[in-house]
Amino acid sequence: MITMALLLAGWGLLAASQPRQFNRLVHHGRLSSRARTAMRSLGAILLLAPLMILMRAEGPSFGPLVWACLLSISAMAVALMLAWLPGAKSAT
Amino acid sequence: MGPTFRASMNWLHTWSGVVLGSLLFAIFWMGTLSVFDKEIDRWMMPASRLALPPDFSYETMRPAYLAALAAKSPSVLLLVPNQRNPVITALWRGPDGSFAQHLFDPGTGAELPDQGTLGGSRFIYPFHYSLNLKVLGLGYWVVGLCGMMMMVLCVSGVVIHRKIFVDFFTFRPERKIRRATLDLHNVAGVLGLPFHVVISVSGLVILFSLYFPSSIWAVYRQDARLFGREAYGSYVRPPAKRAADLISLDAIVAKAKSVWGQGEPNYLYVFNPGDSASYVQLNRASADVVSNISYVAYVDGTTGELLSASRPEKPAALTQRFIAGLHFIQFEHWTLRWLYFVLGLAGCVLIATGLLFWVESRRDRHRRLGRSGARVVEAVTVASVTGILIATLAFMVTNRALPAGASVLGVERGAIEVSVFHLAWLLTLLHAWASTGRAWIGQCWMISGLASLAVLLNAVTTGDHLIKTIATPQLWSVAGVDATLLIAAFIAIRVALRLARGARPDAASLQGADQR
Amino acid sequence: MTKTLARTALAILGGYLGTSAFIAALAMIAVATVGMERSEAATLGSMLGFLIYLGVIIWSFAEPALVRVALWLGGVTALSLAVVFLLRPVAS
Repeated sequence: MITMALLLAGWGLLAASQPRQFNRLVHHGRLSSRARTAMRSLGAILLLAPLMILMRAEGPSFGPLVWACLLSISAMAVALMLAWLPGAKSAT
Repeated sequence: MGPTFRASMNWLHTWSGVVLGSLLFAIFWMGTLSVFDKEIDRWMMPASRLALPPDFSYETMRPAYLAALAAKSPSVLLLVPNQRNPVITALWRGPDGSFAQHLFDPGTGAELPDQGTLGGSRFIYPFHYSLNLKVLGLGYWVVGLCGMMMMVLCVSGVVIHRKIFVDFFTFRPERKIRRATLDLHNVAGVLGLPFHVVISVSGLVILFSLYFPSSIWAVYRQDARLFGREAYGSYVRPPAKRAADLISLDAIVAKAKSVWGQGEPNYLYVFNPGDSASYVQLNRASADVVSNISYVAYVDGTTGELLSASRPEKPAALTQRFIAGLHFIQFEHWTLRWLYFVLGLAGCVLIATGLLFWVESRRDRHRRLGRSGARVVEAVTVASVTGILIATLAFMVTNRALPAGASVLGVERGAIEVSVFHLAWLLTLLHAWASTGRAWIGQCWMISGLASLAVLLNAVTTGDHLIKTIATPQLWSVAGVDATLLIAAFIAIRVALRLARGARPDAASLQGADQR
Repeated sequence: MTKTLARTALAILGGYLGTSAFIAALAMIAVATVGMERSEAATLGSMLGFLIYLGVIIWSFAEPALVRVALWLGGVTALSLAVVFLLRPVAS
């Protein structure tokens, strides 16, 4: 549960750091390059943290496997959420 | 096949996708269901919905062994009951040469009535790796080629995708169906890429000695059978033609456990039953490890001595077993099981949207030019996507509708179910051809109807309705199947309604079409 | 159309035969030179076969000159079979 939330947040940040998605989420303004770097690094950390958690909880063989599966599924979930985000402009 | 590398890959991706897409979908669909083959078995074999006794004795398997002995079978495979499969399963060759499965109660050892079905583990699962085509082992080779081509499709797909990172999360259901389909194809493909690649390569690696035997032939020459002995420590000896009783099964298991320590066996394979040269092959259940085979032991059936034991520690063999284990998911891990199921569905979405995109890109042009290509592919696509779902559901509905021991014109119950599957599949193809354009809607309604009917029939014929199954832990496998069927029915209704509105048949539709 | 069929046959069947011959030679070389165990060399060769075959299929469809595909596949097959034949006394 926690790991899934972290992964969703991580992918979410990475997605939001993309100009196309950022424009949809925030209807005005531009993302400064520093903010983008910060979002990307934080997003990457949020994606890696669950690996550590799962390694400890599930062991060295099941941990990475669960993480790899969750990584794909959470990314798909973020893509679907962005598609039906209320109030967001259509992506171009 | 094109002026540039990318153009060649585009051609390769498009055409291998269209030609093999339907088969790939069938393989992925059956593979996804096979993740829960044992749960489907419980659903289709009501007498096997048992609780595992808290203190199981291996001697409980003796009646199963004696039944095989009475049938004069040269060997008998006894599967040890576990949480997912709480029955003693015995497989032996009958006097007429046919291989038959018999189920026994894990508490008393008594034989359970014949359930008259192949169920998940003997119809759906073998369909996944052999299409149930037994002639010349053709099915294995077709599936093997599809597995190879799935990898080719993954590689060529990545090559031709122009904006992988820009489009990483891009999915626009509100756009034209052609664009939305491609978006979904990209999202399912790119984000699920590690799974698609690993699942294809591991599926092939399981059968490495079938698909690429030349390296074995080269180094072993005439005696290729030595390979099994040297690589996995397998052991064979002929019967001595002298009668002898099998010693206590508990003692045999204890002997094997003295080799590998912790962990129960997942099967006892008795060779030469009733003979003084009988021996038992035991394999440690890989419940707690990813790798598929960890330890094998051979115990003498009359003296209880250890004949041969192997713990694979050679790097290549270990790698092979690990990769195979990734595909087999025989470990006890419910989270991973569900994750594989979801990713398998993502694979189905990937293949279905790929086929749809081909049709959508050509439909108008082909109609204008009077060509039938798009129409043919669309009909085949409908039949291979919603069609196989309908066929699977018809298979399950038939299972619950037929009374025990039923037979029609001398055809047994289990064979009737399989015939219904094939007949239903054929009918969906005819329907798809007859009602082009509207076929998706009709078949979605069919899916929701059959899925609901299956849940209803299960409740009526076995009394195990959803409220009861959720409240009883030993019936959770049945609850899981029923719940998934209901979710599928719900999604199919929404898809049908959305498609019927005609406006924007969106992603929910494409995705929903694959949710069983 | 004929050309497409020829290329497909060459990639799928020719590629399979070429890969098979190549991994057979590879396994024998591993046994003869590095002294790898027979079962290990066979398993490793077989598993590498899938990756090599994948590369061969991709390349067969990417290479513009069909003749070159045929020559390469034929050459590798012949050479591999020669190796298998020559190493027979040493590696089995």
